Amino acid sequence: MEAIKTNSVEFIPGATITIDDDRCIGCKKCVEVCPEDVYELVRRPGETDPNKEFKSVAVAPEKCILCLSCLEICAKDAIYIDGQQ
Amino acid sequence: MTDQIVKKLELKYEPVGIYLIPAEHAERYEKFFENFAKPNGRLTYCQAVDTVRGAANYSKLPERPDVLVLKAKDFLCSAGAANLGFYNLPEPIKNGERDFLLRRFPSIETSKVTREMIPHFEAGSTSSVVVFKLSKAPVDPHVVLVFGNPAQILSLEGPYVMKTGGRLEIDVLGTCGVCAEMTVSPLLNRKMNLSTLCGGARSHAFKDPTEMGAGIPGIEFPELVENLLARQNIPKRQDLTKELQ
Ligand code: SF4
Ligand code: SF4
Repeated sequence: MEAIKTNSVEFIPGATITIDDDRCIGCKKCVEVCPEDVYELVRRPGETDPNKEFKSVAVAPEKCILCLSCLEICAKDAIYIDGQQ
Repeated sequence: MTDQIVKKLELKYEPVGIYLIPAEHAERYEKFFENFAKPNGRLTYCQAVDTVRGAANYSKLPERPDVLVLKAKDFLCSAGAANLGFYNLPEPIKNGERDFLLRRFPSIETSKVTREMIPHFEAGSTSSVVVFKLSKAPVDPHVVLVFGNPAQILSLEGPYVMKTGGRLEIDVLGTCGVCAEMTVSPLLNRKMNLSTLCGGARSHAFKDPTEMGAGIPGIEFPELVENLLARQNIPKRQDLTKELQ
């Protein structure tokens, strides 16, 4: 991840994003609100619980613009950006 | 002065002072603050404010600091950093897409217009921001942030106009509450502003839903506290001279 340069006028995207798989219920809200398509919903292999069939994966964290929409929308508090919620 | 306002209003937490270091001559100013704590990872501006006042510790430092010095790289919230003058807003926030996707607006246009109207400093004009518990102020603050319930914030309104008379015009939307409404607006407009905070601040830091805030230009804060305390000394009717009664 490239750091933001102090006094640089343009914001430089990128963040470390972690999703707590146990909390994620695959509701897709983070996918819907992210303006940079950082998330994708994937099928959990071998999952039999219909409420846990899908989970979100941060496929492009380098595009994150730190808008924090995903943190605000996730009702399960499953997402961490640089360790914060 | 901090003690006096905390006691008079029965505040749960001390007010927070903010000092902005401009990009111009930054090195000279930053040298003065080089021995103060820097966060050990990104955090939002409101998390930094919540940290120094003592409600939580989002700094990732083992001990909660009373003073934090933030640079652009320390911000978890790009909108907050952009409002404070560190850099340009990322395009999807600037063009309205971000708030539109959150379903806050029925069109991108209304979202964009609203975003453009949020008080902000020029991109690149700020180099660092120093956030501190007011009793531990290393320097006179540019802005003082007071948090309390509506009754406590109400107690500041009358004293603010006590000597001149008048009314308060508030610049508020519940968006970018701590950064734009409480910090930038009082500096740009040179007057106290009130804020109901914002969804972001309440989601990432301020957990007490009964709290709201006031941002007061640092230069006006001593007189505000003085007025707040002096109010009880305004003569009672029976103490006035006959002609004035
Ligand atoms: S919003 Fe939260 S619970 Fe829903 S898919 Fe995303 S991470 Fe999972
Ligand atoms: S912070 Fe914004 S850009 Fe980054 S992953 Fe979350 S929604 Fe996407």
